[in-house]
Amino acid sequence: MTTTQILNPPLSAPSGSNPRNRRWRMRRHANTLIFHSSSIVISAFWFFPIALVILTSFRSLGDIFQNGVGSIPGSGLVITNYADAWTEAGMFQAMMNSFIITIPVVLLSLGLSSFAAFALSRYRIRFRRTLLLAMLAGNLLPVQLMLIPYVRISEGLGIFDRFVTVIAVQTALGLGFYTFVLYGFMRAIPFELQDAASIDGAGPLRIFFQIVLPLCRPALAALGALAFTWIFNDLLMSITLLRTDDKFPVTAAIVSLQGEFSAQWNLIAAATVIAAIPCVIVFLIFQRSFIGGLALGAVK
Amino acid sequence: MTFRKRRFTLGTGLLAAVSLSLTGCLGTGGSPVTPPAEDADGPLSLQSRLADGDEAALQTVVDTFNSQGGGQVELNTVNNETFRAQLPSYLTSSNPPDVYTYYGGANLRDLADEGLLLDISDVWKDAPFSDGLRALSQDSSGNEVFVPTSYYWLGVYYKKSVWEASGAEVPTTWDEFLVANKALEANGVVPIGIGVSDAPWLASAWFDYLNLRVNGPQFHIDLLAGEDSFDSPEVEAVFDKWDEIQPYFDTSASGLSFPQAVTDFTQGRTGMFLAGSWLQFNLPAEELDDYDYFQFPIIDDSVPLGEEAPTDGFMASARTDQPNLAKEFLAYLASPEAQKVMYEANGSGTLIPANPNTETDLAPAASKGQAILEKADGLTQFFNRDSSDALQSTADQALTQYLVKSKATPLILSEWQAEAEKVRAAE
Amino acid sequence: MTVHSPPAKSDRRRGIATPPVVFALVLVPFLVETVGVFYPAFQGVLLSFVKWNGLSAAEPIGLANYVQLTTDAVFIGALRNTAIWMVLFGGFSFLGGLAIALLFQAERRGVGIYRTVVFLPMVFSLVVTALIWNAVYQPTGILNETLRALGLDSWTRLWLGDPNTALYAIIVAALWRQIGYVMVLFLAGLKAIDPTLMEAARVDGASVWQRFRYVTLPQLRSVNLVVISILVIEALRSFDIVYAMTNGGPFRSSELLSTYMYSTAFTGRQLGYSSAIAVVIFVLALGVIISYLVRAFSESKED
Repeated sequence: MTTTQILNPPLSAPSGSNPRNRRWRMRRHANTLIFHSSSIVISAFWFFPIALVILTSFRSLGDIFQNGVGSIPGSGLVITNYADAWTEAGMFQAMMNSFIITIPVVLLSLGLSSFAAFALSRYRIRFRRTLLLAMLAGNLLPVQLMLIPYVRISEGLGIFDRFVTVIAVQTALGLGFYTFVLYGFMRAIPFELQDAASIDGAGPLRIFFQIVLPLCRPALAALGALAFTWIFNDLLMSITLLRTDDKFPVTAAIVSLQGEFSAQWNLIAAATVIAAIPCVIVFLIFQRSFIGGLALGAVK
Repeated sequence: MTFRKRRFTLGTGLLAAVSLSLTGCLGTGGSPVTPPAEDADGPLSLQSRLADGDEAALQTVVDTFNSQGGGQVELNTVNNETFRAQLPSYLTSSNPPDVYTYYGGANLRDLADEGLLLDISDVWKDAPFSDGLRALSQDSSGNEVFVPTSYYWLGVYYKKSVWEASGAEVPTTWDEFLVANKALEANGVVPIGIGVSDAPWLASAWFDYLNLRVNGPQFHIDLLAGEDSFDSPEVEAVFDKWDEIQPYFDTSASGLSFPQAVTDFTQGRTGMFLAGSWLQFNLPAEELDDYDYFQFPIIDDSVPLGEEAPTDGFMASARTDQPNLAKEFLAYLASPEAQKVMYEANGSGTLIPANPNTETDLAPAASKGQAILEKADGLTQFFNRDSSDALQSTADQALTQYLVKSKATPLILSEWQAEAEKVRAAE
Repeated sequence: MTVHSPPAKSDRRRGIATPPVVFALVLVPFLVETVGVFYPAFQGVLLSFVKWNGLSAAEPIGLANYVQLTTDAVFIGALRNTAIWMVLFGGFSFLGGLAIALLFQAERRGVGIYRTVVFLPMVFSLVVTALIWNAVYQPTGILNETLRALGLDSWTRLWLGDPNTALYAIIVAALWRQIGYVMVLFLAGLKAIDPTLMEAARVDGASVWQRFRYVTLPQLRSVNLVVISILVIEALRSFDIVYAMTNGGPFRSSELLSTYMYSTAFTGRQLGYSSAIAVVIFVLALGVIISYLVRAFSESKED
C-alpha cells in the first residue's frame, strides 16, 4: 500500500467483482488508519503552540513569574483571566470594533473584486491584462510606504481616527489581490453557459449573479475566510489610522496590554483566545463551502 | 504595457514640480505656533503609553481631576512601542492629543527644540522641584516643557536565600563585588543574569553604571551627547573593568529572552540582575520579601558618584487648542496631592514621587532608593533617554558583541564610534 | 483541458460588443484602488527623495537616499536575508500547503477538524504566539530539552542567539503560521477541479502519481499563480514575527528589509530613507512576480 494511494482513495474496488471482499475492506481500514495517524501527527505539531497559549490563559500571573512562560504550571489553574480580559481589558469593545471594521471590508472588497474579475475575465476589454497586473501591483506595494500619506490625507479630509477611514483603506488594499484570485477562477468557467444565457436575452449583470457567482463559491468561500481573518487580526492599519483606544480592534487592544517592562501574559493569552474564536467559527462555516467544483459538471 | 509606460513618464515628469509642493505638505513642525487665548470646548485628551498598575494609577488621578469640576480629561492608552513610533505623527498632526505621558532627557529636548511642545514655564514658577529636575524638564533655551511626576532607581537585584546559601555578602566596593561573584560561582549559581535576545538594552544598564563609576557622570553625559568618542581611552578603561566581571555573565545571554532571564533569576539559577525598580513587576508576589537590591558597587572613591534615575512625567503639545486647561491639568499632576494619589493607586512602591512635598509613606525599597539617589553627585536617565533611540541601537549592537566576545574590544569600540557618527550625521 | 478565453475576434464582428455596464464594473474598483492605494503610494515614493525626521521640515535631497543604500552594509545584508527568507519561507509554504491540502482534500470524517487545526495559527494573535515560540527556542526551552531527552545534546543551540540559526528558527515559526493559509487556497483550487476528469483518468487506468501529475497539477496552474504571488507578497511583508522574536538580531543576522525599514523609520527617524527602502522592496517584488505572471499569461494564449 503506497502513500500516494492514500491521497486519492479509490472510489470503486480495485480487485474482484464483489465490493465487500476482505482484501478491499482491510485496505480501506488500513487506508483510514494511515490517514488519521498522519493527520494526527501533523495536527499535533500544529496545535502544540496553540495548546501552550490556551494553557497560559488558565494560569495565574504569579505562577508564570515563578515557573516561566513555557513551563509546566506549578500552582493551580484559574479561570478568572477570561472574565478579566472580557471586561477590564476591554476585549468586548475590541471585538465589536473588529466586527464593525471587518464585515463591511469583506463585503465591499469581495463585492467590488468580483465585479472587476467578472468584467476582466469574461469580456474582451482592451488592456485587460495590464489593468489586472496594475491592480495586483497595488498589493506588492509595502504598506509602510503609504502609512504617513494615509495619516496626512485622512487628516486633511477630516476623517482621521474614524472607522470609515480604516474600512476605506482596507477595502482598497485588498482589491488587487482578490480580483486576481477571482479572475483565475472565473476564467475557467466555460463560455457556453454565458453564451446560452445572453442568447436568452440576459444582460451582463444577470449573467454575473445567476451563473458566474454561484460557480465561484469555493473561491469566494476561501477568500471570504482569508479576508475575514486578515482584516480581523490587522494591527498596522488600525494603530496608524486610529488614535482613540476604545476604537481599537482586537489585535491593537491586545498589544496595548503589553507594558514596557512587563506584561500580564495570562491575561494577554486569554484575550488572544477570545479574539481567535470568531475567525475559527468563520473558518468552520466557510470550509464546508469549499465543495463547489461539482457544479462544473453541469456543462456535460 | 502601454498604460504602465504612460504612467511612468507622467510620474517622472511631475516629480520635480510635485516634490517641492509635497515638502510643503509634509514639512510640518519648525514653524512656531501661538497657542489660542481661549480654550476650545471638549475634553482634554491625554495620550498615555502606560500599562498595568501605572495605567490604573493614571486613571485614578484623571478621575480625581475630573471630579473636581475644573475640566474633563479623557485618558487614551496605547502600547508603549506604538506610542514611541507614532509620537512624531501625534505632535505634528493638525489635531493632536493635548497632553502626553513622557520622560525627561535628551529626547524631550529634541521635541521641544522643534517647537512641538507647549511652554509651561508659568506652571513651574513656584514648583518645589530640585534644580536637577528643573534642568531635565527644560528645552535648550531654558523654558520648561515638562512636568516630572515620578522617578525610579536602578539597582543590582538579588535573591536573599540564594546568596545566603552561597555564602555571598552584599558588596559596597568593587573588590567585595568580585568576592561575592566568586562565592556564587563556587555554589553553582551563574553570578550575573541577563537576557539580550529580545531586550539588548539591558546590557546598556551595565555600560552606563560602569561608565558612571569609572569616569563619572559628567563624562557619561558628554559621551552620549557626542562630545567624547567611544574609542577613547576612558571608554576603554570601562571595558577593562568590565573584563574583570565578564566571565561571571550568563554565557547563554545572547539567546536568552528577557522573560526567561527573569525566570532564571527567580528560580535561583542566576545570582543577580541589574535592573530598574520595574523588575519588581516580574517577581512572584508571594516571595517578594526574599528579594532586595544593592547600589552598584563603588569602584573609585575619588570619582563623583553618579546614579541613574529615569524620570517620567507629562508634557503638552504646542498645537493644543486648550492650552489653559492643559496647564491646569499639568499643574495638578505636579502637585503633592496628585502625586500622593498616583503613588498609592499604583500600589507597587516602585516609583518615587518627584514632588518633595508629597505626603506619603514610601515602601522600604523606595525609601532606600530615594536615599541612594539623594546622595548622588549627578543623576543621569538611561542610555536611550540621555541620547536617542538611534544611538541606543548602536549600543545594543556593540554591547551584545562584547558579551559574546565575537570580536576584540578595540575593534568593537571603533565600530561603535563609526556607527554613532553615522547616527549623528543623519540627525 | 485548456482554459476558456473570451469570445474571439470573429464574435465581435457578429455584433457581440462589450456592454457599457461591464466597463463600469471594472473602472469603479480600479478607481477605488487608485484613490486608496496608488495615490498614497505615489506620495510615499516622493517621500523617498527627501530627508525627514518626522518632526521638522522635509529637505529635498534627490537620489541621495538611493545612493546611500548601495553602500549600506545593513541594507545589503537585509537584502540577502530577505532573499533567503523568500526562497525558504515561500518554497516550504508552497510545498507544505500543497501536501497538506492534498491530504485533507477528501470530505471524510474528521477532516474538518484537521483543517481547522492547521489554520488556527493564522487566527491567533502573533503577540502571544511569538512569546510561545520564543519560549520554545530558549536555551532551556522545549526544543533543547526535547533534544537532551533524546540524547542529542550536541544538537542543542542558542537558537535565537546564534547568528547561524536565528533566521532559520524564525522561518520555522513563520511557516507554522503561513501553511494553513496556503492550504486553504489549495483546498479551494482542488475543489474546483472537475471530478469527471479525475474519474476519466482513473477509468483509463492512470496511477495515483500519474493522475496527480497530468490532471491535478495542470488544473492547479491558476491557483499556483495566486499562491506564488501571495507568498512573495507575504515574504516581503513578514515583519511582526521577526520583530517580536529577535528584532533583526543577533548582529543583524535576522534583519529583513521589512524590519530594517521599520527601524530606520521609527528608531532612526529617517523617514525618507525608509521610504527609499520601501520603494526598493516594491521594485523587487514587481520584478519577481511580473516576469512569472507575464510568462504565465502569454502561455494561455489570450489577446
